Amino acid sequence: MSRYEENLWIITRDNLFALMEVFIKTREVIAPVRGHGGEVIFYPIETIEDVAWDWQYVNAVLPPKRFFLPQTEVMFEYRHDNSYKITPHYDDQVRMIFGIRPCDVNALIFLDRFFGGGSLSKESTDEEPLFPDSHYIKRRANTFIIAFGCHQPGENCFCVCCDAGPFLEEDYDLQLTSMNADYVVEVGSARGLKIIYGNEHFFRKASSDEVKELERIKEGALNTFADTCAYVSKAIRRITEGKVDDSLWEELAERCLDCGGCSYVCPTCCCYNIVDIALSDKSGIRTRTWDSCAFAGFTRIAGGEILRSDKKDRLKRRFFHKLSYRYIEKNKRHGCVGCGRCITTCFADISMPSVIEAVRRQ
Amino acid sequence: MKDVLTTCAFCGCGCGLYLQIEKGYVTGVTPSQRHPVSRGRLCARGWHIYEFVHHPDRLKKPLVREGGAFREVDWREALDMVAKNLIGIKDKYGSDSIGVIASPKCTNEDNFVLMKFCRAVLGTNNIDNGASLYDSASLPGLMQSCGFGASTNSLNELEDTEVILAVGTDTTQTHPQVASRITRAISSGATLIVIDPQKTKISSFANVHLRLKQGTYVGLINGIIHIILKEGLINEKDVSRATSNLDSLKKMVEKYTPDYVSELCGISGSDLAKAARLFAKADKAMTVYSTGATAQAAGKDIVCALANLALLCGHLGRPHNGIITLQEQNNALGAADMGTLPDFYPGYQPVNSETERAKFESEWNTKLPAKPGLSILEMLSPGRLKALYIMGENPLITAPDVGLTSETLDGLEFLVVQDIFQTETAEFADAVLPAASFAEKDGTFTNIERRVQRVRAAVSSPGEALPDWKIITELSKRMGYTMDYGSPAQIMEEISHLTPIYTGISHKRLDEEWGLQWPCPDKEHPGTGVLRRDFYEGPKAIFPLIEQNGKGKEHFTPVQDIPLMEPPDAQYPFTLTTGSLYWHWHSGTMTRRSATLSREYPDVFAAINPQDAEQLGIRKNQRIRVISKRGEMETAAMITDRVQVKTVFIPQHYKNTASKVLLNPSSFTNAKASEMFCAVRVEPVMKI
Repeated sequence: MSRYEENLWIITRDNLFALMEVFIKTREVIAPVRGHGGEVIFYPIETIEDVAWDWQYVNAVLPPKRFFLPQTEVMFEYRHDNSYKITPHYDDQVRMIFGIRPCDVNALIFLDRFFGGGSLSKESTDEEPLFPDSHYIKRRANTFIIAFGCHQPGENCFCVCCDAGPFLEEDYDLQLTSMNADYVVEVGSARGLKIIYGNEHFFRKASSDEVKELERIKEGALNTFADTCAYVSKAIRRITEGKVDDSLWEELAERCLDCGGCSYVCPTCCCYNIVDIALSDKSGIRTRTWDSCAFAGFTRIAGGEILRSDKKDRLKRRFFHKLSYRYIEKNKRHGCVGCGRCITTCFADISMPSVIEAVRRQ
Repeated sequence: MKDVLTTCAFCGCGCGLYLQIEKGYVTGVTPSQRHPVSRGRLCARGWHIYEFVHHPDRLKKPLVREGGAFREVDWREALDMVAKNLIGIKDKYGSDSIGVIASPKCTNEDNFVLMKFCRAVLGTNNIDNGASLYDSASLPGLMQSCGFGASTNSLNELEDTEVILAVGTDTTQTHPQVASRITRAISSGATLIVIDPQKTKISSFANVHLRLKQGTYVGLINGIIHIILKEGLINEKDVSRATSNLDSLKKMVEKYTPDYVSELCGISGSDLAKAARLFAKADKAMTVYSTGATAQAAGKDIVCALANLALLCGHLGRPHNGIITLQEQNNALGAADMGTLPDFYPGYQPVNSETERAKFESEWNTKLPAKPGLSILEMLSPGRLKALYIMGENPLITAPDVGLTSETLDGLEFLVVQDIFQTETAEFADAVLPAASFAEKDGTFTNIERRVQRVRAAVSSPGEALPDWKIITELSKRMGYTMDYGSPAQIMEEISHLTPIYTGISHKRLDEEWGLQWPCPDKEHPGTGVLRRDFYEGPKAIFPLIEQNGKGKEHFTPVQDIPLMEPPDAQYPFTLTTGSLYWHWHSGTMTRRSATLSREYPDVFAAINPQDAEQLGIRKNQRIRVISKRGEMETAAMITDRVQVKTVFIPQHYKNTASKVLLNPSSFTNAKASEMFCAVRVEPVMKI
């Protein structure tokens, strides 16, 4: 429970709609919307009707990672006349992400540490970042988050095994959970509390029955997970101790089709490539684009040599990075949040649960 | 910022994807999760398709040649100049001195308008599309045997079939969506038979891999048919009910005994028999093939042989039983559907049929030529034409002989190239017209399972670039023929009005669904996933082709093996083959401009077998020379057992590949199909 736990509020559906209309007028609001054929994607909304209000969806194909680290972005432009002139490009858009799931919020905390040295949703960071990434940090600071707890996890979800859901316990601004026709609102930060106090007429304090009901919903959600994913810690131990035989990675490598999708849909994967594009003899832009350790070219060095040219080594590295205790200690959390997107996107059924299962069986 | 759902513009799978838009730029891609092809997955090409869209090399203004250089001009000047020259050439040399090359990369609407322009304005049937360079075989081959020149079934059916026969296809590289369906079928117990000289990723999953000698496909398939007939494994019921010409097939395959075939193809007789029994005894079996089979002189015969085999075993015309042709370009099928072919109007209505011609003449209010036109290979042969109009195609890289192609282009009095980048071909042009990319225009693509799908404009074009159809209509107006389309949706109205297989298709309907698979004969028709047997007894007016073949039935087309045009000999002991890499696509104009994709294989290479490498003293990445009777090229060696002994593989996507210099030009004289094989010698540039 967060230290704002005394602040458990209720907002009715109508009031939430009204509150959202206020937000839409003042910032870009990103929410889960129904795309073609009813599929869910995160997307800036124009009216509250755009939101997939039934919440009957598993995770969107892509996490909202792209609103903090776009698949491609211009970092700066340069001009060379007599000297170099560099003009950074920043995204100053004020945003709100509404309806983000706890797994994806946990992934953002992971990215905060990578790009900013600590959790950026807290008032101060844990430590001074070595290489603060101003592009990420600006976007993160400009984005307010309203999370939605999952009282009905999807069939591919295993956040519970990764300590990343189905409800947030810390590191969030506001967390909403459906209760009957209304929503319970948990406050996780001063920023969140400010929203409540700034719009107090939309909220009322939760009754003690409603507090109990929320606990019941949370317990109920936990019971809907399949229990097979309890082998995560076994996988962590075996990978950390180097006890996974290479034959596993060889077998997976035979199936992998090199799409890079696992990295792209993963909410914690954040490797990028830097590409300079000349616009003239004297000017150009520096862009960065998503990249994937699944690609052989990812480790191409000068002279054309590729350090991890064997796919089995790349796959091993990927899962080592997600699961080895060495990285958990460094990142202060799992490299996997259990969102299950890799299950959907892999051509060859190489996903976190399938690898964990394979490690167990080996 | 808004995401726009559209269709991937790389391979023929036709994945649904959202383009992410920020401040007027495409900044990323989201796979569609409910789309029947992509199902939440994209290959590396799809994930990076946004990278070329805003590349600074994009053509932004029309260019006109002046002396040795290009000058930027406005549209008015460029179009006036093109119209004047085309009219001049038409008046001086006649309509048939002009040729048009359409594009399997452009939309159906673009291709339809270009086709109409060619026939109604230029007055010639000299029109073909770039896909014919790789696969001029499927259309006549499948049409002859099955009535339609397209895949008979849908991709998702692969997952639930029992036996998959994969022929000449490096599926994981060219069509990852299909490959994943094959591997999924295998994990649920299906059997895979691979016929391919190369070792591929797919072949590593095969129960039987018939690694035949290059150029012996027909012999091998006839050998399988021989065994099936001999062992009485044919599907009597289906064959007697729905097919004709069995006796001549029997006669033809008589000589293809297991002994003869194993000698001819260099494979074991027991593997052959195993493949035959597995395929014939299955209740459900599907065949997939790709350019490894079609890009050769015998391509059409190979397709016919595969159709014979499928018909014989009843593996055609039912769900989970059929033939899938893996076209490599996003709209290869659509371009053909739109009649960018020398002998067909849209929907495969023949130009030499009086009734069809009369229909188009009255609709278009003009006289149309009756004589079928030249194929793309004929058009690209020196001296055949005075002027060429090329839309979205780069034959200098994609046609088999760069020397002959440049001779042809040099010899033209007038060349127009309409493209998104200044291609190698465009360097020869008198006028270069900047076109919109797939991300900038509305329209439709038709994928390999006959699914017509929406392409939607997500951003505006760079500079003054215009959608291809718009450029053509502007040009047409200047040549005295008005085509008044307000939008691609209106063009589709005309397409569906004139094309029986597209009758029920409109942009509005496509917007409501995940596309529609043709034949779609009326506005309520849900589209056709499986070209079923019982269609042949259905409303015949919709299927003039079937009537034309006169059988009302599928038809056995006996074929016999022919040797490669240029088999290896003592002086040139290697067979050179060419093909695609996963990371690149086609002539590479787009993928070579994607930083992520081109990083994987930045440069051309020649792959040889370790055994040959050892014999010749060649090491990894060493510079080697590949020499044919026609020329030579220098490149880096890649050593891999994926290529057979005495084989060299050079990918096709690179500017200076020159692999095409080496290829066999006799395919031009034969003018049926380009053959992507020839005999070469390999040597290290420096002996170490």
